[in-house]
Amino acid sequence: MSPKNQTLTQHFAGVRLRVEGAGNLQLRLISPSEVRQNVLVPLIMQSPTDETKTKLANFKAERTQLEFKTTEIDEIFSISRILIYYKPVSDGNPG
Amino acid sequence: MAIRTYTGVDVINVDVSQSGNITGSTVNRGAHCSSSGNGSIDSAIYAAYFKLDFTVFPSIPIDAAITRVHCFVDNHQVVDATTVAGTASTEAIGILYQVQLPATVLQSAVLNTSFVAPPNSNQIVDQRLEWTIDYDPPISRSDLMNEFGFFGGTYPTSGKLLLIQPAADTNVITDGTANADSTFSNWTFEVTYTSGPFSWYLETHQSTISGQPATIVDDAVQVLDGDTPPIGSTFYGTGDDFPDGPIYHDYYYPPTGDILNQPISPGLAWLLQFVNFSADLRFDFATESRTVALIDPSGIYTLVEGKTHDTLYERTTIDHQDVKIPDPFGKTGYVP
Repeated sequence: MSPKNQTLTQHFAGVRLRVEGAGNLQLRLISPSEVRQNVLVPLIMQSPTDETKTKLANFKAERTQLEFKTTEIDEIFSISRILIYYKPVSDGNPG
Repeated sequence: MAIRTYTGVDVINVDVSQSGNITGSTVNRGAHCSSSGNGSIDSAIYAAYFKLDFTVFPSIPIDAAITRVHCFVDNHQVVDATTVAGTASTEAIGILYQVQLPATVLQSAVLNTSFVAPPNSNQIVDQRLEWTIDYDPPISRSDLMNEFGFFGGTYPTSGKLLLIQPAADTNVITDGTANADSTFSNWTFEVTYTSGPFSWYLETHQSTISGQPATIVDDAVQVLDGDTPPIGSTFYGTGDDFPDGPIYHDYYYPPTGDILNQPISPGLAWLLQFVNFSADLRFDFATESRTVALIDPSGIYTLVEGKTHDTLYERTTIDHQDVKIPDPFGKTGYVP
């Protein structure tokens, strides 16, 4: 099996968002099928803003998806850019 | 602590057309009087001997004991509270309570209330006998009124309308001044209730009459008080519109003259037997939570740009409530 097709374990170190809004943006990294998760520190939104905020993460998974949401009334968000930082840390899981 | 009470009223009309001793017997009836012997003028003695048989709250078990039974004649108490007592029971279903009034006590009561024997014939003597039953400890209102029936749901079969034949040889009871309504049964019930949701309905039934005289028909029985529910009707409502104060049910024969002109034999008392009444007063207490279903739950959803919350509108009152949008969220695809 070539390294290209190997299943690698990634370490997700943080996310960087270009977001405007009001309230707290709840962030969460989720492994496939939502088996595991990493809840990040909520991002305090402003509008307007010229900053891009980075939130640190510490999450290992083969793949992940970022969930963002608000939970209170009159909280809004508008995201224009998302960067997810990660690098591989191991190759494959023993079958 | 409040004591729940129930008050029954029994009205006995005696048409004394000529003096004579009127004595009573106790044959498991509310009142049974007959004329006997000859008396002198103005010596009508109401030496009645009453024995009231009645059932109490037949459909529910009652843990409380009947501690006091008050008896009144013309609002004058004739029986001390300690004289007559009911029977403590944990199961009042079908129990027959018997209250016996000694004749001497009743006589003294009559005297104390300035009772004057009718000097003339064809006068009506109204004696009101009331009794009050106190429960200690108080039974709950729901226990008291749940499927409550007036003395077992049916008034004891008894003769309530007493037509005493005069000793004269007319063979006919002339009406004279007696051509008046003859009230022969009266129910009174009073409910004291506090706030709280409950519903109620009252259902009265047509009386059934048999026996002498046959000319009296059922529809001759009417409700005396026009404000009270008529016979055969059902009334219901909620707690707020429950009538205040006592509700009276008076049944009487209208003065048609049919009764008073029936030929009878001298010395014979007509006793109208088998007069039955029944009524049900039922209270349904809303002790459980109630589910309110919307009649028209549909709505129109409108998207409003820039709006950061949802708004719920209540149609009838044109009121609204702002609520949050249920956790709006987004997700990226899986990386890498």
